[in-house]
Amino acid sequence: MARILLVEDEKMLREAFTIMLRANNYEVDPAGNGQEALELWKKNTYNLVLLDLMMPVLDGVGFLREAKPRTSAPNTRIVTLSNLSSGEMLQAALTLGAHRHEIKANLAPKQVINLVREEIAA
Amino acid sequence: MKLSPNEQVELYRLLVDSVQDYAIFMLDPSGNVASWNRGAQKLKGYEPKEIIGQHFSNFYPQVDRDNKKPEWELAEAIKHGRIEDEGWRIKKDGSRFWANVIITALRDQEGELVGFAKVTRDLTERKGHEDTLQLANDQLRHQAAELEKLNRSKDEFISLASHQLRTPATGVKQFLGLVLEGYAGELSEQQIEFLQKAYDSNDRQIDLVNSLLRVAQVDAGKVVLHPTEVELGSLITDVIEEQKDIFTERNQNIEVAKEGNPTSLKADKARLRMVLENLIDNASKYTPHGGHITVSVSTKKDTCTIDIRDSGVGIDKASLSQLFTKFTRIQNDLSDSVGGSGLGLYWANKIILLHGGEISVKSNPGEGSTFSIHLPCGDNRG
Repeated sequence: MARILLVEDEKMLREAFTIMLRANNYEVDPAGNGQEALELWKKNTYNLVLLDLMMPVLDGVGFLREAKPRTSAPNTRIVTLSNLSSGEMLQAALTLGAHRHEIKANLAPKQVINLVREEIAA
Repeated sequence: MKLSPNEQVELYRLLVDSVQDYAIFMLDPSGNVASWNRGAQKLKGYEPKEIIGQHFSNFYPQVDRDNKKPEWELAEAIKHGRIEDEGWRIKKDGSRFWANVIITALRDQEGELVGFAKVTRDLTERKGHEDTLQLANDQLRHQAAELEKLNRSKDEFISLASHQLRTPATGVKQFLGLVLEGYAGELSEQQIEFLQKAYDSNDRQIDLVNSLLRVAQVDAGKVVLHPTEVELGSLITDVIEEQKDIFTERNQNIEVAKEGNPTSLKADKARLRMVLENLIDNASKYTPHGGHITVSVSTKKDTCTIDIRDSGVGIDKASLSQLFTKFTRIQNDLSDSVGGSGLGLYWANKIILLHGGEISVKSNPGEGSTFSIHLPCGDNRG
């Protein structure tokens, strides 16, 4: 079973994404910010990280800077899932190892699942 | 008429004495008043007998006297031949006036200093106008700065509000989506229908917030273009491919008419794509079911043009000039059934202007519309 680290500070969205991913037979570890995500990242191996960017405590860019996914887990796919459509944060995330960016307000559940399937197969 | 030297001197004395609008008088080499005309009397208020023999520093405010300005001016006049100055001077009654002063050093034939000629004009009225203007200018500058600040706060507010509004709307979208996609069990047809309406309505709200955010960014001058080489034909094909379900649903025929050679130019691909999505989506929305849309690319000199032509309802002349204004929604047969924020064309136009191009429109009611994006390409591209 593919394992996903879901990093999202908005409780309602974290819940919705967890429900749809688990219903599609993915193992999901939800985290409410970059710091929580970092602790899970150190303990487990993931196929995919769905990463929000703007978060309290430690934001998405901060998580990538600490986690260094390119060297610590080169096989893990990283997708930033944020409502930012452009800007420095997005650029920084791509530079620090994110493979893809999606605007979450544009995605219906089936599109989220398609995205997850594509990335895990990649 | 030939005058004797004495007559000439008398004539000059009369001339100087009769001038009333200028104070014209002489100072001896030490700066004491040596002559006094009627203009000086009128301007400064002293009778000749009161002032002749007095030092001219009496006309200066205390602060200038303390700083030895009168002595400095005489020294400058000796050095350079003359000195011109503007500043406050004091009348006999203690009131002040704004004076333009010219002091000229006078020398005899051997070059020996014999005194100074001093001409003073009252410019208080002009100074008053200048001060009023300056004050008005300062006030305007202050107001402009305040407005600028207010505008920045407005932009920041819209940006923040848009982020905050998008988050709960995204939550609604996900949960409605979960229910609609059967994650919470099977639904009746009517439940699906009602939920779909709520879902679509929420999507429109997300679109509106997105548009507001984009407009706030472009209005705040925060849009930085990231130009790369863009091949227009494949970009148009991508956009149409992405929207093909909508054309199928509306039974609309969409055609791409390309030039023989690929047309490439430097542009911010993501933003140009959004402009195209916007214009092609508009063409589809304002064209009745079964209509035609043609997208074509042409190049003339250093300008590449993308024409989006539809067989839709068209736009009347009065509305054409309003098209690119914020929150403008044109009223026609389809506008009630078509959603929109009235921000799309405003934003699209701004983005194309930032690229150094422009959008033009040709349309007549009932005869369809052609929206043309003109962009610099070739050697002179922006």
